Amino acid sequence: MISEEQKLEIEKYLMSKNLPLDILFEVKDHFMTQIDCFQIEKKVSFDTAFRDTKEIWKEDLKQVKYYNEKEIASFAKDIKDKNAKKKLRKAVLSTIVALAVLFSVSRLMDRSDFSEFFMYAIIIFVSVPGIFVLRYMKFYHLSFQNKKVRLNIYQGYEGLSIYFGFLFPFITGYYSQAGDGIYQFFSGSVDEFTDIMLFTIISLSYFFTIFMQVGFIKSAKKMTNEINRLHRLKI
Amino acid sequence: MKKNSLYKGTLQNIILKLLSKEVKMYGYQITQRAKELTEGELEMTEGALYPLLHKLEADGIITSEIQEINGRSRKYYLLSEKGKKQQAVQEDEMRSYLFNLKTIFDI
Repeated sequence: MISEEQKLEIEKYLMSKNLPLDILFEVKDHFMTQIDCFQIEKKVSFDTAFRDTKEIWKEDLKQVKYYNEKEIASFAKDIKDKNAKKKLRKAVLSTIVALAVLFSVSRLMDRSDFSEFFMYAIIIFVSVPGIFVLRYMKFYHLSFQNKKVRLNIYQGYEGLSIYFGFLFPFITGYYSQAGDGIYQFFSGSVDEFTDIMLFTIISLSYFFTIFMQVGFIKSAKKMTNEINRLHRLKI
Repeated sequence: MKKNSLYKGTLQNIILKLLSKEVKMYGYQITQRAKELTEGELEMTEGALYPLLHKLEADGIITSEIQEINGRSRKYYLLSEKGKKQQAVQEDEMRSYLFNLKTIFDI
């Protein structure tokens, strides 16, 4: 049976491997079960069983650079990469749907109605990440408070959430101008190609942000107890 | 895989099959059950198992729940409804594949 002190030793070791908490707690359970089994089967001390378990995990916990130059365990990078690609695919699909909806609406409305519709649609959509940030401030606060600890594989996109949730509409004034250009493009004017391109890029980034944000919140909610416990221990 | 890279492409089938039989399992249990059933022949590496479990969860094929076991938080994986259907289809395909392979290698 692993003591509290030994449990802490395992946690500290895994924290040093830069694992996001959602992966860390799963790996921690794996480590503890594996150590327990080694101690019983091989009749060895905790230290020996811990050393043997670390050896088994050596390759998977090897530190590699992530795109932001921060180090991360190699298998966690694999999980993060696959996840980001999946979200990106969903964002591409959502952008295509958004363009199709805008095109259909532009066929049903005149130019000024469409511009107004576009403006309200943008305001509503863009306020969603802002509402999420405010509603789940405690998770964002935790991630900002302790830069060394990553809550989950979705962390690292807080900046984008804040940009789309609060800053984007005010900085760019985009919502009040782009609707007209998009309407004209859908009506056959190629001069407004820049507007549609800009909308596509922004829409892609927006949907990617939203999917990552939803993942971040869902995962953090599941992990609340573990996050609070580690936070109390100040690991 | 420790001993045979041929298992690599079938890891997803193996995980889904184990989950369909055991209802819910955690990571270490999956590795041990596979090892036990194959009498030590199949040793899943953790680095292959966890990315695949997370991918299957992201795809909605499996779901997870966290339970407290002896003071430890443990993440269990279960087949979703979509996963159950997919597992049944994949099992049929795999059985047909194995039957054909056996036919060829028995000549």
